[in-house]
Amino acid sequence: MSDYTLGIKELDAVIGGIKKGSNIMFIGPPMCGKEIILYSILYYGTAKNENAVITVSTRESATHILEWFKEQKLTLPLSRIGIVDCVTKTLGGASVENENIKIASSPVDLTGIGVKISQFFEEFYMKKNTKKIQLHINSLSTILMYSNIQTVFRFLHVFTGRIKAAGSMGIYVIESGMHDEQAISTLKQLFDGMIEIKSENDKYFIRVVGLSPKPTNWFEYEIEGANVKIVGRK
Amino acid sequence: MTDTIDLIDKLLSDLKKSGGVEACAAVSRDGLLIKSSMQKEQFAESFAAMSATMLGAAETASTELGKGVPNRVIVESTQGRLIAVGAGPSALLVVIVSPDVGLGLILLELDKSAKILKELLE
Amino acid sequence: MIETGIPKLDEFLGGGIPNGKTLVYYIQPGVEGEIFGLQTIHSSLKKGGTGLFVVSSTTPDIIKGQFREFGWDIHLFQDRFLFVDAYNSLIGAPSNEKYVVSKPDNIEAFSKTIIDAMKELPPSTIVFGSLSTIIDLCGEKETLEAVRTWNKMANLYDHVLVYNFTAWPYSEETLKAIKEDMFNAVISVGGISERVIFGQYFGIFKADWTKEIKKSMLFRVLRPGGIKLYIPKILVTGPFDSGKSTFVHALSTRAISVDRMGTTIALDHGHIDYKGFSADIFGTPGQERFDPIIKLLSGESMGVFLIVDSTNPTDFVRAKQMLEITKSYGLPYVLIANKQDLAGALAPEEIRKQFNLPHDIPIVPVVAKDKKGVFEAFEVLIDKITGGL
Repeated sequence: MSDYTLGIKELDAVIGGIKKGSNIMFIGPPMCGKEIILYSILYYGTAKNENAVITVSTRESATHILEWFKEQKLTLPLSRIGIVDCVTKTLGGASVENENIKIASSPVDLTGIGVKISQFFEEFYMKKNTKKIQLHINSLSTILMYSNIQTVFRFLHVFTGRIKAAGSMGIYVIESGMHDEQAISTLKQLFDGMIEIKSENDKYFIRVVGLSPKPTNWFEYEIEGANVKIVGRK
Repeated sequence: MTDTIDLIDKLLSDLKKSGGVEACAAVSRDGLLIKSSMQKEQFAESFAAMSATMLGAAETASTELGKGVPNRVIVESTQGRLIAVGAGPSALLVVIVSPDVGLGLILLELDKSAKILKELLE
Repeated sequence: MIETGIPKLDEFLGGGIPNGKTLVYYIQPGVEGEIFGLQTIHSSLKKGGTGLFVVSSTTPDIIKGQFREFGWDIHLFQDRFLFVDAYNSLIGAPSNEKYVVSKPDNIEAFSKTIIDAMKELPPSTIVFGSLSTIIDLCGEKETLEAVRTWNKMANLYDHVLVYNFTAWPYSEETLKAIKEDMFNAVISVGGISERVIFGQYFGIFKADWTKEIKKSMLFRVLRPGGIKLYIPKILVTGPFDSGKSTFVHALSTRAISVDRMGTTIALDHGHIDYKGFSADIFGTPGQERFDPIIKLLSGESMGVFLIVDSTNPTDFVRAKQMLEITKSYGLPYVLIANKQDLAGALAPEEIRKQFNLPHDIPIVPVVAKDKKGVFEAFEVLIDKITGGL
């Protein structure tokens, strides 16, 4: 089984492939386009590389996410998409489960979220025979708002372990500046690498740490619609 | 007066003359050998049963999924291909073809022969 | 005594859970196990008891919604189905429930509410929706101490306490205490995994009021329906024309057959949902020319129905041969004496003699085309598969 890629060619070129079983923290300030970058990784993985992607969404409902892709004119291979929607029920919305959408009762219910993730894994791995699976959690910060660090650590401990056992790849979003250093260091133990975003003078920069022998350079990027464009290098 | 079985024999030997056909057989839908033209004669009866099973199972799978009755079942391997085609409600025709030959002509011949077999058995 | 309402579990527990006792469902993370607590409270309510559900990770309304998803009518028990709401205060929402824990992260406040409830209510079934969440909020040592107190009170006031516990990686000490010391009964709920979890099972790890049946059962969660025992493959085989396909269709809720000119040329496949069981049934062809298929079909079966035509003793030799082909020796099986309605049909005891069948193999008389005896036969085979008492 070959490795995973992000779909952002300048970064992929420097990192090479991402080894299967990797768990990656994706950290950056609010409003820097993390969501779009994550969607771009999702799109690239499913449409171009035949990966299946399981997304745990704590801020957008599943229907919103799917609509966004439609509006951007990006066709998603739905048979390889699984969304664990942690939002709809908390808003009192009508929750409809189908082949692509499972509903968790809230971002607090880590047990329930864990069950839905496992069910998607079973469907992709055993029933559809898709062995390359990515797990995206957007975001751990929301989850940390509701549960303490030890609880979230235990949850991540189990699922980062499952990612390793299944040869999958996990990407976990965290807002920088929202949590104390202690919490971030505790969680870092579970990850193999980081995608980091920083902002300087109204410009945004992205780099990857830990997945290649040296950290990559900071690449300046811009978001255009659904595209992540690298525009420079520091 | 020629027996039906002689006519079927001729049908099979004609079919075998098509380039690339290594063996062929006429089989009843419930898995009994009607007549075969193959080298490994001792295997012919098992072959008949399995061919009927394959076509029958494919028909059920295909119709259950709303895709209608299959035109044919093709089994491909590196060493050759097996093609089974229905020949009316009581029989099917099956051929074994070498791996490198183009299928176009064979499929046409096969369909024609299946039609004749169907009429012979009516 | 109250029943857990989980198929076969009550039997394995010697009838159910006696009053005053405590039970924990020890659930592997990722496995859909919290429904065990819910199904148990439903079982209690059905029998006329009072049920108190302690919610920690979701709202009472969502629990009521789940109840409905499983097809259980909540209106029948409105006044006996009570909640301890230890969730809404966490998110700052008001609560209409009888018992509310205003500070769910404070174990003393929590404990007081629970103890008050236990003192006020008649002997009830009290289900903790998520013990793990309470531990996450209040701390491992503190919560376990409180749980020990609650368990003692349960004994005093004759309640049955049931806990859903998801076994996240807490300290060794905590996990050991829960698994071995603190509760009268521990039911493991886990997943069968090969790189990912597929298939779920439950089994008794410990039950101190009865001789434990250490058997694991595969289960599925059906909506509606709840927890059903899952038997992935039951094989139906036997000589040509003994009535296998008819039997499969009679037993199944829905079935398909691949047959031509009156005989099965590939297989029959059916599915049955019956009395807490969900099973898939595979029928083989009977004619010898199809024997190569039989080996394919029989892998991974959990039990076998061997169907014979009661009017045809000459076929019995072939029947024995088919058992051999399906490599079913060693698997639980039941002999079905079919076509009992025809003249010349041998009685089951005669067949046993002619077959030389050991006395522990059940023979069930059946008329498959009229669906007579078919479900009785199913229950007999299930009993054998689950190792009935």
